[in-house]
Amino acid sequence: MTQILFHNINKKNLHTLEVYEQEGGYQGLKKAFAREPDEIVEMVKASGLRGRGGAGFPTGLKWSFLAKDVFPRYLCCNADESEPGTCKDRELLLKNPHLLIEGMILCSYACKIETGYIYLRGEFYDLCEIMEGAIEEAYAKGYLGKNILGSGFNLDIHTHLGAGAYICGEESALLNSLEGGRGEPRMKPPFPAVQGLYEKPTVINNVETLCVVPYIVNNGAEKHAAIGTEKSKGTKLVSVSGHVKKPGNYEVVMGTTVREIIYDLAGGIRDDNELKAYIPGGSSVPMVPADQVDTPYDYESLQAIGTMLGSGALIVIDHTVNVVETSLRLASFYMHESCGKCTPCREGTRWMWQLLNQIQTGQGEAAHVDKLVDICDNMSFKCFCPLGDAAVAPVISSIQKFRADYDELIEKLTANPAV
Amino acid sequence: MIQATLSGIKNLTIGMFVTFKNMMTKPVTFQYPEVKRTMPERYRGRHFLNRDENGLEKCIGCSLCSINCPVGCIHVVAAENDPENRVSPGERYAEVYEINLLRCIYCGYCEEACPVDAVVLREHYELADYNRDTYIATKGDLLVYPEPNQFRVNILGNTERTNSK
Amino acid sequence: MADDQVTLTIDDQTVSVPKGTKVVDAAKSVGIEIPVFCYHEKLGPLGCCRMCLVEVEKMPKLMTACTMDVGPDMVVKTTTPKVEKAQKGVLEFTLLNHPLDCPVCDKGGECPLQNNTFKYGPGDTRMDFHRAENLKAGPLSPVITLDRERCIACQRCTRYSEVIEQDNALVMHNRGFNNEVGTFNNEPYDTRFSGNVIDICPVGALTNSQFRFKARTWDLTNSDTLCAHCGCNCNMTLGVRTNKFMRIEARPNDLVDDGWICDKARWGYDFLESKNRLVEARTVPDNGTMVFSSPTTQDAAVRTAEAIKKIVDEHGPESVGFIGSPYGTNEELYLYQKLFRLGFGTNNIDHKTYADSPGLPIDHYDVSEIETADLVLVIASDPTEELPILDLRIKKVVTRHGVKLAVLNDQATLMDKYAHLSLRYNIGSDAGVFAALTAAISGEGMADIKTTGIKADQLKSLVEMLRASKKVTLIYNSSALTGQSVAVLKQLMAMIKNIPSIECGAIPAVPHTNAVGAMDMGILPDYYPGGVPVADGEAIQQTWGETAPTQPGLSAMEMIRKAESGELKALLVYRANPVVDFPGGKQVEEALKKLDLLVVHDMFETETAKLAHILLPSNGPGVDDGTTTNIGGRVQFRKGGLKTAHPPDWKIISLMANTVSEEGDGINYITSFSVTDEIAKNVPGYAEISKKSIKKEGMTRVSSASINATGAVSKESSPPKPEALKLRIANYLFAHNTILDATSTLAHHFKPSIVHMHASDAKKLKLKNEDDVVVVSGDTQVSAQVEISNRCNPGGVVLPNISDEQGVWGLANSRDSVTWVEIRKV
Repeated sequence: MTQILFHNINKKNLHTLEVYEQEGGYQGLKKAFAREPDEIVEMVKASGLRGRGGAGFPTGLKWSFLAKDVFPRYLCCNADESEPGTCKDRELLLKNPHLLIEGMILCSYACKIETGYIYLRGEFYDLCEIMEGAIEEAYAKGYLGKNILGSGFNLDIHTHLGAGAYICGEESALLNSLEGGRGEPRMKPPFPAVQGLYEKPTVINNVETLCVVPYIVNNGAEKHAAIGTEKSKGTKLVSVSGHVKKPGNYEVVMGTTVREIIYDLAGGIRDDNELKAYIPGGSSVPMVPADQVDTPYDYESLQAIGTMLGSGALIVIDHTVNVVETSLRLASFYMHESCGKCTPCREGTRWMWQLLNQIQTGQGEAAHVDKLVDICDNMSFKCFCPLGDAAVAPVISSIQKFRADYDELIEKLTANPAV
Repeated sequence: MIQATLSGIKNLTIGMFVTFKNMMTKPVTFQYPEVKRTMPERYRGRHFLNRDENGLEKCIGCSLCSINCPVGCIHVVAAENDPENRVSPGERYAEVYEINLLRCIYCGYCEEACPVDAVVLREHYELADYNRDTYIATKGDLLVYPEPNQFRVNILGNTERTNSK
Repeated sequence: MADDQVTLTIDDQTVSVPKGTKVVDAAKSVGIEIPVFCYHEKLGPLGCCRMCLVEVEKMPKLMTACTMDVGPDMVVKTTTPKVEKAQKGVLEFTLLNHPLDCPVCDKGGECPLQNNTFKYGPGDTRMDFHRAENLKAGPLSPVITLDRERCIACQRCTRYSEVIEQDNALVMHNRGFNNEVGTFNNEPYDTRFSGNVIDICPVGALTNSQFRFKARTWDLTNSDTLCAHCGCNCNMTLGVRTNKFMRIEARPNDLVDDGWICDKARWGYDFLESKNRLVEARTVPDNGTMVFSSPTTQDAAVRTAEAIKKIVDEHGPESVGFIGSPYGTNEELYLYQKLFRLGFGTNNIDHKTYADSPGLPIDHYDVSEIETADLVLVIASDPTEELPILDLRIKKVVTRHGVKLAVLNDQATLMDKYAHLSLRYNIGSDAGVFAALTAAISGEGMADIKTTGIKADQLKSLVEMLRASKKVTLIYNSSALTGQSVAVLKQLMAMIKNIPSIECGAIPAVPHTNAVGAMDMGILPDYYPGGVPVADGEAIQQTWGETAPTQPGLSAMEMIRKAESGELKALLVYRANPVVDFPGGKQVEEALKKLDLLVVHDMFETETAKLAHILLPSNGPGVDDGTTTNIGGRVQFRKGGLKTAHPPDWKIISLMANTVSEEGDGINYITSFSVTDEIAKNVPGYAEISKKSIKKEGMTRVSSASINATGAVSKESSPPKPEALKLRIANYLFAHNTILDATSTLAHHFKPSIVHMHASDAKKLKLKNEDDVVVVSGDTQVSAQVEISNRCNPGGVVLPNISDEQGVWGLANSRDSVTWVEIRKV
C-alpha cells in the first residue's frame, strides 16, 4: 500500500534532524528554490491535494487566492487537533516534526511568506517542546532564518499554544486566538486569504496537508495525482477509534473501502461483535449505519451517502451501543465547546443536551425526539460558524438512522417509570 | 251603559288578577339598606389589592393596570424592594398605588392586565360617600381585604366602609 | 448610474444604495424592517444574534442581512416561510433562558427583544426545563445595573467598549453558554461614556440605576432637549413624570454627537432637584438702600431694573456692569446685552476672563467636518475632560477613517495615545510656539524655540504634516491659552489658510455650553452681537438705534477691579460664580462686597449669591426653552421639560427691559422663539435661524467675519522665586461643584486634589509621590497630593480643577500672564 507520510514514521529518532536528513529530508527545498514560487503553487494545484483538516478545499487553489501584492503575509499551521476521534496530527508532530517544518518552508516559499506560526492546542504542551526543539535544529542548520540555503528567502517559524478550545480549530477563531483575543470565529468575508492574521493575507493549513507538500515537490505533482480516486488524490491518515481490535492511525489510499479499514487494518470489531454504525470523519459528521460499510473512503463517496470525510477520524460503534448515549456524549462535548458567540449554537447545544439527557435518564417522550429534530433544523446552517452544524450532525443522523434506539429507551422507561 | 259597566268590571278583574297573583309571590325588591343584596361572584365592584400566602403584597408595581385603564384612573409609582424588609416578593413593589374611584368605569381591564393577580374587582358596590377625597383609594384602602373572601386565599381584615353580608 | 451605487431587489422592491451598504440598512432605506439584536449601525456588523436571517437567491443557505454587503442584482427575500421559520427558531433560542420578568423590567415597553418577539416570534416556548439562573441586578458600576439573566450575549456593549470607547473595559467572560458580560477583576465599569451601553442594550440587562423602577417608559413625558454641560450640546431626551425628573437618554444626531452622550450628560442632572436651588427671589433686608421684603420674582425683577436705573442716573452708565455666563441660552444672553446696552447705556458686558474675540480668519467648522478632514490638530484642548463627545469623534476618525491627529498642548492628555504627533510646549509658552509655527509655515525659517520646550525637528514634522494635508481641522481651546496668545493663534490660522493646497477650518473648543453663543450674542465689552465691533458706529446705530453706546466697555476682570476701587457701583451677575471661577479668589469676593448693588440671577445659592443684595431665581436648562450654539457653530433648540413656579429667564429679563424702557411698554415676547426671531433679525449670521430651520438637526449659523487680530508674543515672565513653578489649571469632567454636588449620582467620580509635576522638579523640591503639599500663590493656598508624571514639561505643574472647594482659581492672579506658584510640603 502506498504511504506518503507514514512510510518511515516508526523509524527511531526520526524527530531529530540527523535521522530526518538521512531519510531524505529537506531535499525538497533545493528543488523548490530552483523554481519560481508560482510554479510550486501550480504544482500543488496539479497534484490535486485537498485540505486534510475537514473541509477538503483544494490546497493549491487556497494558496492562489491570497490577496495580490499585499505584504507581509502569514502562514498558520493549524495544529489545534481537537476533533473528537482525531489523533493523526499528533503522531506527525510527535514523530516527524521536521516534515511539517519542511512543508511549511515550501508553502511559505510558494506563497512568499516570511513568518509562519504553528498553532498547537493547549494540551500539546510536550509536542510544542518537541516542535520547538526541531525548529531550533532547523535554524541551526540554516533551514530557517535569513537567506535559507542561500536562496535569499527568509522564514521565521513560531509556535503558539492555545488555551484549550475546540473552536480555535476553526481558522478564523484560530487567528483571533493567535492575536491574543477571544477564540471566536470571525465574520467572512473578508476571508483569511485577504484579511487574516493582523488583517494581512494568511494561509491556514492543517498539519497533514502541509506534510504532504514535500512529497509533491520531491516527486512531482503527477505522482501524487496518480494516487487515489478521480477527485480525491493521495493518501489519508485515518484515526480509527471505537470498538475495533486495533485502534490507531493508518495511512490509506483515498478510495479504500471503510470495510477494509475496519476489518483489515484495524483488525475487526471487538469481541467480533456486529458493526452497528460508524462515524467516518470525526464527531462533526453524520453517522452511517453498518449497511453502508462498503463505501470507499474518499471525499465524494462519503458525501454521496450524506456524510463527510472530515478530519479522517473513523469512530466505530458496535451493536451493544445505544446511539442515544453516543449522541448525548457528543452533545455534551459541543455544549461545552460552543464559544457562545451566536445564539442558536450557544442556546441550542445546551437545549439539545438537556433533551438528550432527559431521554437518556428516562423522562423522555416521543415528542421530545420530534422537538430535537426541529431544534436541529433551527440550528443547522443558521449558526455563525460550522460548529453549530457539527453539533447537529451526530444528533440528527442518529435520530434519522436509529430512531428505534430512541423509541426503545422511551418505551422501556414509559413501561417502567422507576426513575 | 250596562255593557260598559260589565266591561269595566271584567277589565278590573283581569287587572286585579295580576295584582293578586303577585301579592302572593316573593317580592323581587328588598329593603335596602336593611337588607343587602348578594352579588354574583364575578361582579365588578370596588378594587382591592391581594397579598400572597406569606402576607407580602402581590403587586409588583408594573403599571400595566394603569396603562390598560381606558380612563386613566390608576396611578402607580414603583420602588425597589429592600431584600431585608420586603414589601413584595420580587425586585419591585408599588410605593404608591392610587385609584380614582370616581373616574373608574369598573370595566375590569386592570384585573385582566395584572400579571400577578394583584388587583381585583370585588362584589362591593356600596361606594357612596359625602366626601370626594375618599374616592381616591390609596394603597392602604386597597390592601385591606373585606370578608367574606371566597375566591382568594388571604383574609386580612375589614374596612369600616364594608358591610358584611 | 454612478459606479458606487448598487441596485438590488428586496421583497420585490428595487433599492439603490451605495456600495458597501449592508443589506439590513438597504432594506431600512425602503421601509422594510429586518429584525436585529447585535447589529448597530455605529458599531458595524458582527452577525452573532442570527436574528436577521434572510433568503438570498442563488445562495444555498439563509444569510445574515447585517453582515452581507449589497451586491448588484441581488434578490433578497425577507418574508418567505423559510425565513419566518428561522426567525421563530432564533427567537425561541434567544428567549430560551431569558427570564419573563417584563412587568418589572425597566426596558419593558421599549425593548427590542419584546418588540421582535411580538412581531416575529413564536407564540409559545417549547422549553420545559428550568431557565438558567444567574446574577440578578448586580451593580456593574454605581450607575449601571447589570442583570445577567436577561443578557442575550449580543455583544453590543462589549463592542461599544472596544470600537467606540476603545478601552476594552467591558468584555465577554467565559465560553459558550456561560459567557457573560463583565470587567476585569469585577471592577466597576465607570468610564466617561459607560452610560451609552444602556441605550444600546437590546434587552434589560444593562439598565440605568438612577432610573431603576422609577417609572415605566410609557409613563414618561419625553422632551427633546440638549445637554447643558459642555460645548458639544449633545442631543438627548429628558424623561419627566409628574413634573419630576426621571432619566436622560441619548437622542442621536450624527451632526452633533454621533449618537452618544457622556456620563455627565446622562447622570449629571441631579441639579434639577438640588437642595441648593434658588427657590424664591430674595433681597437682603439690612442693606440700607434696598429694603423690600419677600417679593415675587416679577416684583424683584422690576425693583432690580429700577435700582440699576437709579444708579445709572446718578453715576452714569459706566458705573454699572453685567457679567453673563457662557451657560445661558442665546435668548437670555441676547436680552441681557440688549437691556444693558440700550436700557442702561453701558458696554460693561462680559462673560469670560480669558482673551478671545469673535470671528475666525478661517472657516468655522462644524463638528462633523472632522470626519472628512485628513489632519486634526488639537491645540491646548483636552477633549476627554472638556468636550467628551468630541473625544469620541476624534478617536473614531483617527482609528477608523485614517485621519491623522496632531496634538499641541502644554499637558499630557488622553488624546496623545491616538496622536501621530504629540508636541508638548512649556506652560505659558503657547504664543511663542504659535509664532514659531507661523514663521516656519511662511518660510521665514525656524525661530528660536528653545524656551518653548519643543524641539526644532518636532516642529518641522508638524509643519510637514500640515503641508501634506488637504483638509485640516484645528481644535483649540482659547480658555486654556495665556495672555493674548489666541490672537497669535489666529495669525497662525491665517497663515495655514494661505497654503494653497489646504482647506482649513477651526473649531473653538471652549468647554462651556454656549461659549460660542455668548460671543455671538455680544456678551463682550467690545463687540455687539454677531461680532460687530463697538467702533463700527454706523452699523450699530443702524441696528440698535441712535442711543446705542459705542465706547468699549469694561471686561469682566476690569469690572472686578473697578468694583474694588469703587468706580463700579452696580453689577448684575447672571449664572456666573466669580468668587469661585474667576482668577483672584478672595480679592474678587472683597471687590464684590464693595458694590452698592449686586444682583445675582442664578439657579443656585452660589458663593457669589451669598453676597448678593437681590437674588433672582433662574430656571435654567431642563426647565426653560432656548437655543444654544455649540462649538461647531450649530444652533439647536433646548427644550425644557420640567415646570417651576417662576417665569422663564427671558421673561424676567424682558420685564426688566420693559421697566426701564422709555416708551413705557417694550416688546412683549410670547415664547422664547419670539426672541429667537428677533435674534435672526438683529444678529448677523443668525438670519436663517428660526423655529422651523433648527427643528430637526439644528442649523449652523454663519460665522462672523474675521477681525484681523493683532497680538504679539509677550515676554516670558520670570519666576518671582527660583523654586517657583508655572501653574496650569486643567479641567476635570466630573468636578465637584454646584452642578455635580455631593448628592450627585456621579459622586463616585470625584477625585482628590492632585498636583502633577515633572520628576526633575520633584527632585529639586525633594518631593515624592503622594506627598501632601500646598500650592501657594500670594495669600492663597491649595492643598494637594503630589503625583510625579510626565503630564507637563519641567518647570510647571498641572493642577486639575476637581472641586469648587479646592479653589484653584484663587491661585491665579489674572489671565494676563502665567501664574507662578510655590509648592510647599506640609
